[in-house]
Amino acid sequence: MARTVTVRLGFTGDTSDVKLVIPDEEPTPWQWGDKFSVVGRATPRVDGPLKATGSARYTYDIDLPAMLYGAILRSPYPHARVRAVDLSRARALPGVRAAIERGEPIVRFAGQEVAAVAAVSPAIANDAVALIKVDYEPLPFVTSMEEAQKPSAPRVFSDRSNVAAPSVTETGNVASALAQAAATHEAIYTTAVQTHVSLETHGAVARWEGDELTVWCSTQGIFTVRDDLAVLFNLPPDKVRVITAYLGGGFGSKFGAGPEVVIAAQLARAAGAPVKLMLPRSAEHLATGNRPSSLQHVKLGADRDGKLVAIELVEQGSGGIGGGAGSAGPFRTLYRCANVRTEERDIYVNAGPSSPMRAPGWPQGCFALELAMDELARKLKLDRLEFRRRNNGNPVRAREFDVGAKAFNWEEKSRAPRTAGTRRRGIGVAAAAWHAIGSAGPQAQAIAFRDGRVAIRIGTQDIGTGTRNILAMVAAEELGLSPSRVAAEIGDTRYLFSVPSGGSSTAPSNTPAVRQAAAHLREKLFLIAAPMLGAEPGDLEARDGMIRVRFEPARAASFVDVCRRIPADSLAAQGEHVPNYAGFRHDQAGCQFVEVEVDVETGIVAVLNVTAVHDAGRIVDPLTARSQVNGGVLMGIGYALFEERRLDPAIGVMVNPTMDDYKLAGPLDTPEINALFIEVANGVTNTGVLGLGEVVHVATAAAIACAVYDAIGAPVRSLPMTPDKVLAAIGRA
Amino acid sequence: MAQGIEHVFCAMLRTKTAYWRTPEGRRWFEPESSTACYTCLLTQRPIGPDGLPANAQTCGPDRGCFKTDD
Repeated sequence: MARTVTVRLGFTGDTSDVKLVIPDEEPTPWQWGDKFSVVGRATPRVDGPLKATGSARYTYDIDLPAMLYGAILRSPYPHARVRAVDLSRARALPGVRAAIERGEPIVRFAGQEVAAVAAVSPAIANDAVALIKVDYEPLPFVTSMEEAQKPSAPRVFSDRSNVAAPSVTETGNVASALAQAAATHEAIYTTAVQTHVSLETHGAVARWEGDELTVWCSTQGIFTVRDDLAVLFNLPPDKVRVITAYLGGGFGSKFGAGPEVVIAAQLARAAGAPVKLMLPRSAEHLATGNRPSSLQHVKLGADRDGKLVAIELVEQGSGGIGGGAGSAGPFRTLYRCANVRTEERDIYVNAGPSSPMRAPGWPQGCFALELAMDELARKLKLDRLEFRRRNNGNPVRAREFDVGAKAFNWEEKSRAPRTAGTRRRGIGVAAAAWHAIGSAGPQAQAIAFRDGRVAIRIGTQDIGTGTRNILAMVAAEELGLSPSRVAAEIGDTRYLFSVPSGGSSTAPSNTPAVRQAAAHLREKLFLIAAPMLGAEPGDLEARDGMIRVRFEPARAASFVDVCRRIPADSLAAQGEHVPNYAGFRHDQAGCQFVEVEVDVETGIVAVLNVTAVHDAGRIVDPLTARSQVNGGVLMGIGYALFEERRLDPAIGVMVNPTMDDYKLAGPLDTPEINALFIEVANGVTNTGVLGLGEVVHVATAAAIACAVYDAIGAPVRSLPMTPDKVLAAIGRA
Repeated sequence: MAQGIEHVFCAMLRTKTAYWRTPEGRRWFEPESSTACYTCLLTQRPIGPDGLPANAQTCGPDRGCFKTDD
């Protein structure tokens, strides 16, 4: 059955009453003006001490009795026929317990898995890999998009073209609008391949007990890995258990059962012993995914009032042997325009495959669009922020522009002298968008024990963003407890189902299930407390560790005393994330302001400060939210200035697959980051919590590029903006 | 996520959205997406067992390695 509730939704200055039809078992969605005891208060990570002391057990830390160590032999060739694999010498090495081959007749990138071994030590496993003899027939290969499109280019997939069919969208008439525009801009923007560089590499520990498989896995989706392994090994899902107590990042690259997970399970079965297979850093760069490259031909047109009349993107990108290199999302979304055409095309080359990476397609598209916006604003002689305001169609972002500009001192910095010796300062702003409202499916248990402990159990995983915190806080809010009283137990397929941690969906998907479960548990506890207090269950409330009669605070019992009346060891309730409601808005806005300093003699760019303004519905824990912003901005700095997978075109091999040679933003590159949140009561779920992982990364590189343009007077239209590119741009200015 | 288009995909085809389910319980594919990265579960790579690309456009019943959910 369902009921209709009226809730106040919106954000500062723009709220209204909205009727929602919700299932009877659902708590009324949190709304604008609600007062909270726990939610919204900065709460240190509940698992912080475990991580700080090294007690948190990541997959890398799993150590089982009689455990073997796996290692993988990878192709040194970017394209080759595998004529034969001889495992005999590896198998003969003392300490080796299993050796298998992948059985694929052709390898298509340097780093592709060919064979694997399991041995009693990592050293012996690596020695054994070196003893595997492979008879390769090297084949012609191609590593650049330009070469791949030539008629004579070697084919990545036998007789198929290296150029995939384009994805084309158009609204209005772009050609006509461009012809009539008062001002136009046209340029080509490029971005490099970026790898994920999760701190914990991909890997798993696999153990067979009869026909039951247990896998400790560094994954963003314990249930997805479970289901994939069940299919591959022809097992019922309940015969596969996947555990991810802690996860050292994934950024989209750790969804299903990847080769290393499958190989670990194959080796464990072949050896009759548990096998641990964690990838070395080099393999992480070569074979576990990347953000594709892009070459974006952008045309913009505007009228005399500074309103966009045409947007066109013709893009090609390469995810190596994989696809998904599109970048048109921002072009179709960020700004209001009647005439928009996008054309995206994947180009296949012999390089490691793409995989989803933090806001797939958006950082590269946002970079090209926003830098082009600045170049057009200059032609229009318009302030760049004002140009964006005139073309913004999102009321939340309009407020974010205002809040951000004030906090960043946009106007003052626009006027200030910005040259000192060889250093020039510049400022930039870029918009972001995303759509992280979560989805139905997750189911949670809330359990109260007779000693007053409370546990939340749900089969989600913490990608590293503080999931335990927000789940404990939501349950604590509902039960009137402090978060420290609630244990959030996650990361095990023995718990009820939840969705993978991707698409910024963990918080918005799981918090509604947890809130509903906690609300149901509270109702059950009220049934126990009511006779204790001589009241009706409906007259009770849970606050400050007490259950009491509403408006009669003296008639109260402690939460612990009520739990002592549980007529069993524990009392459990269940909740689920029901389908989302229409609510206020389903999208997210966001914008980031950046100040940089460019040394015009060396071409080195330093990011001085970032003001990031974002909305994510109801912010549960401002501390973890701020951490998300910090992480997104830092990754954006790396993307803007340093990160690039470099392939040697002569041998088709990545030449910088280490953390020494693949440059990330480090402590000395870290600017002051001012994270500001616009609270939005959106009512799309009972918590109204949205995700933050991706939207906070979308605009950073773009805003940096705009700031560099402002500083040196010439656009650097290629990421990463390494010193050579900056100096070349200065030379053109 | 937007509603995916309903047509028949190989049971071995994987992509991020396909780890979610539609309201009808099917794997969630968005063939129109230009950012979807596909893999074949059998190879764990964006290549089918037949050596051709694995994606929502090509992994249909007309392919020799096609498998159903049954």
